[in-house]
Amino acid sequence: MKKISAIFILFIVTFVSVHAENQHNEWLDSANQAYTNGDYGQAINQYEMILEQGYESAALYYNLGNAYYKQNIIDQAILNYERALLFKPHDEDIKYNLEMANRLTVDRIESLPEFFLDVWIRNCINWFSSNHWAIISISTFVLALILISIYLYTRKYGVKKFSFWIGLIFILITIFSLFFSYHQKKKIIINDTAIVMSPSVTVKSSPDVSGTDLFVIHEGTKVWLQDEVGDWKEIKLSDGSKGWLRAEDIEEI
Amino acid sequence: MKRWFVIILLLMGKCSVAQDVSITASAPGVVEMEQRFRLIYTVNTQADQFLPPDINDFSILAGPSTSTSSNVSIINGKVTQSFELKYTYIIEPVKEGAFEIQPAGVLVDGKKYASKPVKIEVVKGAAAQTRGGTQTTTARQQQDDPNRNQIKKSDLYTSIIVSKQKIYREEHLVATIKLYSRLNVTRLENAKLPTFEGFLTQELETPPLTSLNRERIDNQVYLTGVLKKYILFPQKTGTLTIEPLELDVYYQKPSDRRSRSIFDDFFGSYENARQKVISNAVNIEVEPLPKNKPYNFSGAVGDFNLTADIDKPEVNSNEAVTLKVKISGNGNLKYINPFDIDFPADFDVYDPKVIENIKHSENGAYGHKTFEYLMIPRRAGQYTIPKFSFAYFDSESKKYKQNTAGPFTIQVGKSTTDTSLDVATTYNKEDVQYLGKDIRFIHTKDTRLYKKDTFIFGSRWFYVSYLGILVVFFMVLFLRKKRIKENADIKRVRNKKANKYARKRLKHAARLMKQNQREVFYEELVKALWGYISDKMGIPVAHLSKDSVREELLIKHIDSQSIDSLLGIIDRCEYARYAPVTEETKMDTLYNDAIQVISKLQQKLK
Repeated sequence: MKKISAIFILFIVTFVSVHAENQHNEWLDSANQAYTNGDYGQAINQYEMILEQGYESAALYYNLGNAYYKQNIIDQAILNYERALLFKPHDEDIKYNLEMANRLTVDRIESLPEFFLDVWIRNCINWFSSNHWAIISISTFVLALILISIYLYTRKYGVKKFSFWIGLIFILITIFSLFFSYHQKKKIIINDTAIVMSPSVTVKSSPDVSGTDLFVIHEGTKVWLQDEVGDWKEIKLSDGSKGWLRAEDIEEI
Repeated sequence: MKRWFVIILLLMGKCSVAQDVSITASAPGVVEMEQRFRLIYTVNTQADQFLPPDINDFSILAGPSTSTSSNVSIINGKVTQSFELKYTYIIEPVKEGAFEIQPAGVLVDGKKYASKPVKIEVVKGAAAQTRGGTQTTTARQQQDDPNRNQIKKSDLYTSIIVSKQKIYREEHLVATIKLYSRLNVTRLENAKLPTFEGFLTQELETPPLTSLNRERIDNQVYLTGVLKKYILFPQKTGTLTIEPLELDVYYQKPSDRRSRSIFDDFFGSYENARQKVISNAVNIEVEPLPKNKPYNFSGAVGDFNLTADIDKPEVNSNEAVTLKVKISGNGNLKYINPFDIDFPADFDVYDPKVIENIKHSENGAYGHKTFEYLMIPRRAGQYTIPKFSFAYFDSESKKYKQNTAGPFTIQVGKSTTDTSLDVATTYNKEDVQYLGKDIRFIHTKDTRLYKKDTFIFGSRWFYVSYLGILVVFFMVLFLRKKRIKENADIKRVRNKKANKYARKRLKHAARLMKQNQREVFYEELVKALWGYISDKMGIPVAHLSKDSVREELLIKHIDSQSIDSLLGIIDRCEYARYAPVTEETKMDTLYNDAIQVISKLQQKLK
C-alpha cells in the first residue's frame, strides 16, 4: 500500500512542479500589487500578459475580472468571472463579484425554472473542478482497491461486510467523479456559453442581415450557443428565447 | 426762365425716350348688340405717329381722339414721373359674333411699337346695362330693363359650381358659389351656406365683392361675383349632396311712382327690393380608392414628395439627434399622420414635432408637412434607421405610389457620462440592497498557475496512474496467493520435521538434566511437547490451549489415554517448576514419559 501512495504523491508533486513557474508568479505578484495600488490598467495589462503566455488559473481570471470591473468594463469583467467559475465553480468570491457585475448589465432576463434534479446534479458537479474530480476519482479508486483487498483476506465476518459495502461505495464514487471530471473538462474545452461584447446587438430570426429583428441584448449578457452558420451563431437566452447574431458580437467563455 | 423750362422739357423728353415704350389696348370683353363702348389705346410716352387699327366689324362712332396726362411727383426728394397718351375710339357692334381688332401701333423715334389684338364678343342681348356703356340710354332699352319689371328667375340666381362631380375619396374638388345677376345688386344678406356634409372643407380666399364681372351666359351679359370658394375633401364614399345656398339679395329697381321732382326725372328714381335666392343642389359621386392598397397606405391622396435627413450622423450617447421627414406636394397634406419608422430599439424617440405649411388654392392644398423626430441614443454603437416609405394614391394616374427615404446610419460614440448614468439607471430595476457595496478583493494567496488546457483527466499521467494502481493491486493479489501456497508447504515440512525438532529439544533437556538445571529443563521439556504438537497440527503455539489440543487430537483419532498422558506430562512439568520434586516429577521420569508419548504420537500421527 505504501507503494501506491508513494506513486500518488509523486504524481501530484510532478504535476505541480512542471506547471508552476516562478517567472509567471512574479508577474502575477506585480499585477496584484498594481491592483492594490489602484493602477487597474497596469494590472489588466499584466494579467493579460500572463494569459498570453498560456497560463491560467481561477485566481488569475478572477483578479482580471476585478480589474476590469474597477475600470468599468463590465462585459470583460463578466467574461473573466465566468471563466474563473469554470475552474472554481464553488468559489464564493467569484460568485459574489459576478453577481455584482451582472447587476450593472442592461438586460434583465428571467430564467426559466429548472427541474430540481438538474440543479442538484449540476451543483454536485460544480462542487469541484475537473482536476479535483480527477484526483478524487484516483484516490477513491485506490481506497476501493484497498477495501477490496481487506474483503478478500480478512477472516472476520464484520470486517468483511464493512469493507465490501464501503468498497462498493468508493467504486461508485470513482465512476461518478470520473464522469464529473470529464464533464468539467468538456465545459472548459467546448465553449457552449458566451458573453455579449457589443454595446447593443439586435438578434435576428435567421442568420442573415435581412432577418426579422427579434430582440435586442446588450453587453455583458450571457448566452448559450446552439448552432453556427458561417459567421453567425444561434444563441439562446436564459429565458429560452433563441435567435441569430454575428459571432463578432460575442466572446466565448 | 424760358431757357430753364426748355432744358427741363428736353430732359423730360430724354427721360421718356429712355423708358420702355408700351402700348396697351382696353375694351370690354363682351358687349351686346347696339351697345356703344370705348376702345382705348394707351401709350406711356410721346408718340410721333399713331397707326390706327383696322376696325371693320364695328362701326366707328367717334375717334380717335387723343388725350394726354402727365404726372410728376417728388417724394422725399425723389422724382418720379409718368406720362400717358390715350387714343380713344367710340364704336358700336354691327353684328353678333366673336371679333378680333387687329393691333394698333405707334411710331416713337422712328421705331414701331404695336399693341396686342383685342378680342370682343358681341352677343344679342335684350338690352345692355348702362354700366360701362354710354351714359345715355334709349327709351327702348329702358323699357326692357329688367330692374323695372317683375324679375324673372333667370335674372338673379346663385349657383354652386364644382370642379369635378366624380372623384375618389380624399381627392380634392373645388366648389364655387357664384352669383349671377342682371340687376343692380346692392346688398347680400342672411346667407345660409351649405353644410357640406361628408366633406372636410377649407374655405379659399375670394376677392371682396366690390365690383362684379361681366360674363356672357346664353347670349346675355350677366354681372357675376364669386360669393364663396371652398376646397372639399370627401370623407365618405357614395353619393354626397351639397345642400343649396339660400341668400337674400337686395337690389335697386326704378321707382314706379311718378316723381315730382325734375331731378328725379333727370337722375332717375330707384327703390330697394329684396329677393330670396336658392341655389341648385349638387350631387358628387365619391368612389372608394382602389382595393390594392399598399401595406403602409394611410389615406394620403394627391401627389407628394418625401425627403428626410438627420442633422448629425455622429453623436455621443445621450445626445439628441433629429430626423426630419418632409412631405411636400399637393393633396390632403393636413391629414397625413406621422408614419411608422423602425427606430433602433435602444433609441428613446419622442413624439414628432409637426410643422405644417399648407396653402389652399383652386389647385388643391399644396405645401409641406414636416415631422421632426427627436431621438436620443442610449448606448454606443452603430445604428441604422432602415429605409421607410410613404404610400399615397396618385389621383392623376389613379395608381398607388411609394416614396422612400433612408436608410440612415448613426454612429454613436460612448459619452463620458455614459457609464455613471448606466449604473444609476440599472440600479433602479434591481433591489437596492447592493447599493454602495463593492466587489470583493482579488485573490493573492492561491497563485498557482496552470498551463492552459491542461487537465488531469485524459492526460498521460491520469491513465498511467490508473494503470499503475491496478498493476499494484494485482501484484499484491498475486504475491499474497503465492505466500499462501508457500505457507501450506511450510506446514508439511514442519509436520515432517516435528519428531526431529522434538528430539533435538529432548536431547537439550537431557543435557540440562545432567547439569541438574531443573527449571530450564522443565521449560525445555514443555516447549518440546508444545512445539511438537504445534508442528504436527499446523497450529501456531500461541493459538494452542490444552482444551483445543485435546479437541484437535480427538479429531485425529488419538486415544484419550495418550492425550491424557501428554497433557499430564505438561501439567507435571509446570507443577514441578514451582513445587518440590516428587517421584512423579523427577526429571528422568518426566523425560522418559515424554519420549514415550512422543514416540506413541509419532506412530499415530502420520
